[in-house]
Amino acid sequence: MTIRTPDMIVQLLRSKKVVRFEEIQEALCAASRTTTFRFLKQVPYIRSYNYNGCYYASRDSTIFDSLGLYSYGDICFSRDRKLDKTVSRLVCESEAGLTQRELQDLLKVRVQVLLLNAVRRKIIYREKVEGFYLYLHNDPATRKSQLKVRHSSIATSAYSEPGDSLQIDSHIVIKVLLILIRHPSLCPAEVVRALRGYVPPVTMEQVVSVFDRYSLEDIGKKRALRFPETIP
Amino acid sequence: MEKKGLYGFLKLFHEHAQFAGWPAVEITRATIEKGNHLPYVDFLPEAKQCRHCGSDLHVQKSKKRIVITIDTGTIHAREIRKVCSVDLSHPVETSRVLAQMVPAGQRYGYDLIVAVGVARYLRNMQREEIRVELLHEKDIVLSTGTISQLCDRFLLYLEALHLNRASALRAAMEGSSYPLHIDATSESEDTLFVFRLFFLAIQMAYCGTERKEICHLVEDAIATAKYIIEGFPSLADIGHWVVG
Repeated sequence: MTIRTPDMIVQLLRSKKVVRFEEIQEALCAASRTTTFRFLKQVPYIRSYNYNGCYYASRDSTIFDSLGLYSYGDICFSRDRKLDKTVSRLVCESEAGLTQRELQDLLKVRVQVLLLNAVRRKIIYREKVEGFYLYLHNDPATRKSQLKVRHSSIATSAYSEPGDSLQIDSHIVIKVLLILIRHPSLCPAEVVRALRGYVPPVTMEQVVSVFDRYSLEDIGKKRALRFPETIP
Repeated sequence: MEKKGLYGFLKLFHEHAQFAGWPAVEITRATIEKGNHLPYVDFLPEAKQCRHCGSDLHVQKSKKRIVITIDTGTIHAREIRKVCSVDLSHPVETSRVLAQMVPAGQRYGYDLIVAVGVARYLRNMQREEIRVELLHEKDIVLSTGTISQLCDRFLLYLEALHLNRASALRAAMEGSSYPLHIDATSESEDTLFVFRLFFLAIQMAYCGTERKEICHLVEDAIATAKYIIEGFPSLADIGHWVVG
């Protein structure tokens, strides 16, 4: 009879970056769910916050980035272990608060319900800015400084001297490109629609300007190579 | 989904994200789609007609492979190959963009090969250092063995480029300039210097490690090289002199 030890799970997590629960059961010689969970308690591990938490990885503080997130392909992990705690932490740590859209871009999952729950439980605070809810720290002083930074960024994006060329921030270019990477055939109007939810909002003029500056409509257009001299 | 232009958008996105100071991990995470670990990029041939008879082309087959470059990171490249609809013996048309990006049948792009080669031979970095740098700065995972292979490929391509551009190099050197390769090795206190003018070792000397002595030695070597160049102005002449 094989003697099961937590080291079996440790070895598995060392050999593979991400494993499924069934693989852990297999490593423990076809153990039951209860037995597997009992052994898992003795091992440092993290569970993915997407894909219903079905992926497991070794808990190592060095793998997380500056936001406390780690991803393997499209499988995402957080140092807080739970998504609701991650959402609250990111909102509280942000310089200018975060909108639901910005959080969704960071975490790659829908966060509306979690944000609403956190607001109802008074963990975070929300305020409407430019037609969208901005989620902020619950502490009034921190919240005030977050709002100040947000309002200053709105003022910067709105300010332009008459006759000046439109100021295009590199973040706007990146946002437009990320939409085009997912949907390469979109026209500027569709890109603006896909970019709803940011504060300050990305305007049609800005998107058209990005399209013009980098000739985005021409990128990837395949020019027909004709060989007239060989055509009979 | 229409994938036209995806390669261009990816390249532009990588440039801007790096300029904006995004960490490499975040850049990779932003481009990954749900359920699909890497972005899928189609590479269609630029030609619309057969280069032999001008007939229309139709799709012969598609080939998939993972391609890793500095410009776009790691992507799934799907190369669509097209063939003449009239005569199948006519040459198959493939994407020129992909051919210029990565060698045929390989997964590591030319820019990655150059980056590894430059790091190894110009910046004198060790394999492990190159591996760590690529992982931190570009989020590219390579083993030390792969880095060795890429270094070999770099030398091979450099040699091919050198031979390909030999006439231009020769033309550039026919003026007052000449290549003088200086190398040295040291054991105990003495240093062995070798100066090579083209393929000809013109001077070998033992000397101490004093900076002054080395300077004198290099000056002597340059003077000797100039003497030879003035006496034998072309490479062919030097060859005759050596053989003779």
